[in-house]
Amino acid sequence: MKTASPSTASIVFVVDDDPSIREALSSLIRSVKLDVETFSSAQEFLQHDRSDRPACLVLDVRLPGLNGLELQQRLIRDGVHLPIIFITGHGDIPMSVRAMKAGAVEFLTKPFRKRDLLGAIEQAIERDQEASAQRKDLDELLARYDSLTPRERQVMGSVVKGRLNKQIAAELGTAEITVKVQRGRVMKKMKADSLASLILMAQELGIGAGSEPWR
Amino acid sequence: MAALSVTAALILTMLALDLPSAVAQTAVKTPRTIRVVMDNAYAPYSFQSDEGKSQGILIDQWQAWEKKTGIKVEIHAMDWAEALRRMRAGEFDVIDSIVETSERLDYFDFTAAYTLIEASIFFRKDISGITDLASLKGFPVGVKKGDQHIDQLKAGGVTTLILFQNNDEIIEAAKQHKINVFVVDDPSALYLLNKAGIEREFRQSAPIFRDELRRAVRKGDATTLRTVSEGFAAIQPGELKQIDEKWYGRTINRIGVYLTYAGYAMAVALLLIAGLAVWNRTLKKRILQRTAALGESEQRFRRLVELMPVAVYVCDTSGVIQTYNHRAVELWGREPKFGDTAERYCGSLRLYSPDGKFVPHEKSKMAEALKTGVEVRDLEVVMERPDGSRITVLVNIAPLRKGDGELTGAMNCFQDITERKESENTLRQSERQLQLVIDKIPVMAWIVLADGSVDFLNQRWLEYTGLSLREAIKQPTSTVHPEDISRAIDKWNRHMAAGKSFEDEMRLRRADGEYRWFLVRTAPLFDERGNILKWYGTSTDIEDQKRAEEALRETQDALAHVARGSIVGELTGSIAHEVNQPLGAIVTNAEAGLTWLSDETPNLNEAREALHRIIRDGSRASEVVARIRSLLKNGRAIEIRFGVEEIIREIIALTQNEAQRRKVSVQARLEPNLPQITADRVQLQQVLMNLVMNSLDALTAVADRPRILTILAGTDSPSSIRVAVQDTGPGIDPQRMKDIFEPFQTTKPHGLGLGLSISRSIVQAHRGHLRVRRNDGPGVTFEFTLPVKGKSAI
Repeated sequence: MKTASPSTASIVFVVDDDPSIREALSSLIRSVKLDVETFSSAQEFLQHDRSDRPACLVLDVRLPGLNGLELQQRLIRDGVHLPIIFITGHGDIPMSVRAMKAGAVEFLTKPFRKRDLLGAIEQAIERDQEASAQRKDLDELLARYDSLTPRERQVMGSVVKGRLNKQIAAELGTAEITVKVQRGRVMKKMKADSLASLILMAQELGIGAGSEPWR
Repeated sequence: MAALSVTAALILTMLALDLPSAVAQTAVKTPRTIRVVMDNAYAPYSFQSDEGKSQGILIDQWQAWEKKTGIKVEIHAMDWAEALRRMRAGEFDVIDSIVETSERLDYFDFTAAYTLIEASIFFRKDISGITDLASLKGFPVGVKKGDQHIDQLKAGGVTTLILFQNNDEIIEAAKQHKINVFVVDDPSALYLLNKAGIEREFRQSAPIFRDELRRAVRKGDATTLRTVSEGFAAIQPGELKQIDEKWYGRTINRIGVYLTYAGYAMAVALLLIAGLAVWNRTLKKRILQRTAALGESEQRFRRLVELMPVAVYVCDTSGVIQTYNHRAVELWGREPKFGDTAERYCGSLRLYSPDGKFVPHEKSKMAEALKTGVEVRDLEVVMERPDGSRITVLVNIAPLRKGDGELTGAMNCFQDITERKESENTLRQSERQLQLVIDKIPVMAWIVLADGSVDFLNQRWLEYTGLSLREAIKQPTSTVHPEDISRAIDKWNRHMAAGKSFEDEMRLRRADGEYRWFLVRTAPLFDERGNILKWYGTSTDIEDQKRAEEALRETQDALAHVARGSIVGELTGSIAHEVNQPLGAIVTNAEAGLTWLSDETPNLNEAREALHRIIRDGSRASEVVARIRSLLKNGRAIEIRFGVEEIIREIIALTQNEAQRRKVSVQARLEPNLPQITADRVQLQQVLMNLVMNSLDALTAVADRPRILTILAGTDSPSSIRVAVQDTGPGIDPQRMKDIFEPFQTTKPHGLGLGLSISRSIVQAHRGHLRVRRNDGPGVTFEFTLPVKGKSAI
């Protein structure tokens, strides 16, 4: 497919079985300097390898084979986080409610205006960027946490609960000085500049009393 | 008569003269008069002679008593009831021929019984079945006033008693056919019947009452009682017997009466030759007269025999035919010679038994009767005539005897019953056929009596239910489905009480346990007074019909669904998509083209491509529209002539269930004799269906008034008709009124808004108009006009 921007630019995927609609949407999206890739069915879209560029999906409800709503469910099940804008010839209220509840960004009825569609696409890509940034931060934090030794994780768990070094040493059956060294190593490895930021990180990771971190 | 009575009296006088008596002597001591009361119509005991003189056994006995006792007897004869009343009142010393009853013991003292009297039921001989008291119920029965049997008759259930002053009146009434049944003491009845000459018209039952006749005096009057009893005891038994014989002798038969008298006359003549010479001559003269009368009577008898519609012949003891009548010749088909010794026992050519066996004449019933002297009654015999035809006759043979009982021959009286037999056979056959029909017809037939008990069930009934007749009679409703039984019985009781025919549907259990629906119909049978005698009924298996009806209803539902769906559902659904897709693409392409051109460096190639696509998609959209047009307008429209009322009825039928479900009352007001129209029947049906379904939808919202849908049809102008669908629904928002015929205008959540637009297209294609207007009351009316001649007629 045509790509008019560098690989870091956003991309819009279009799935519609009608070639006229596909061509028209492709032209319109490209005219606002967005990358676009079109597919004639859900199956074709699922077979496509995706990069992790910010993206969104413009999806026709009425499709041969797997329909739009079914594709949405399938993506959720597979853990693919992709904002969806539904378009339909004639939608009804129950259908749109179902789609929106499952996380759709917008539900547009054909024929729709440019500003409605482009507004929805803009919003969807923004949402995807935010979500992927969040996912990126968390990944980094997890990598840092993974680099801790088991003893350092024990110390970190106790520190974020507000225990003093002396208390921690008693709990772990070690010298207070040892705890102090390990605590300094945790702060460094986690790139925490203060106790407060370490506590925030612990919250992000979901480290509670005695529980394993989120993953 | 008077002369004879005098004669009898003379004999008695003579007999009485040399009978001295002790009683007579005691009676002399107390010479007085005794007043005796008795019935004046109790023949032969006491009754009036034709001259009004009292006579009879009792009179004679009291005369004998008078002689024995020397007490003067004063006889008072009167109506029995009066006699009883006045005796009770003490007017008389003795009442005679009275029966002792417990009631009468209160005021009378009775002598010993002097004779036993039997009383029987006498009835006209064409009445049968009267044998005893019980069989008398229901008949008006003649009886004498004051008769001691009245209470017994009433106690026996005989309620209709006709009371007569005396026995004479009873017999007179019987003679005049005023009464047919009466109860009278045998001696009296037989005497009077004979006297009236109607003894052959009546038959007599075995005696139903036996009573002892006594004499009675006033209660406590022991002297008189003793005097009376002793006086009668003194009379010689022989003397009493003579009196009895004198009077009973008169009841044998009328001729016998005279012969008896003649005998008496001869005896007296021997004793008193001189004195009775005159009487003798007189008697001879009377006998001569009588003989002449007998000759005359025999002639009459002959004529009678000839005139009788039955055949009669007489054989002598050897079987030789002595005489026969004309009818016998007719039935025999031949005329045997009188006295021909070759013609014996019967004048017919050949005889057969009813089952067709040949019977030689010498073994015939006549031969048998002559041999045994036993009479033959109502026996069927088949006779063959010279022409070969056979007839069935009913034979009655009576042996003839002389006075001393010696057999002199036999009389055969027979009648042709061939026709009767044939009609009996035909009747029996048709009855058998009817029975066969009733048993074999494919419905269950039955009869119940007015009280609901089973009278008859045909074979089918028993076969279907598998019940035995006994089980069925015991519990005829045991086969009704438990869910139907109480309703069915309730309805039955109501209609049976009203005496009206009715029908009902219910499930009945078959022998194998399966329940099937039956249509049960009944009709009452009335007697001439309008009382219900029986109920005739049939139960017809309608299970298959029921199933077919259900299937039809389902098909109708499906058809209504399809008919509606075909135009506003499937068709328009795809039309919308077909049109909407290119429209969507056109709008998007136009926006894309504008964007490409509005760039700082306009991309003309992209803009041009977008414009090309707009043209392509626009053409595609107009193609879709053209296709719909051709489908609705010019395509497969087939014009035929038909009556618009036909499709109205069809639509009402198709939407009936839908209307019922929505509680809408659908009415049709169709002008009679509407002209037929030429149009596409299917398309108009779709229009009407669409309008009716719209109205039904609208009416569903109505809760505070009747939901009424009216279809009207009438002539609009000489060349066009008008059809309207009117509802009492909520109506249409005035602002929307103007564009309801535009496509995609709808108020329904699932509607596409094409029904009215397509309907209008169809009507316009037929050169008609589809309009809507608000009603004066609630709701709206959709109305279309159509030219009578089709569009092709232009």
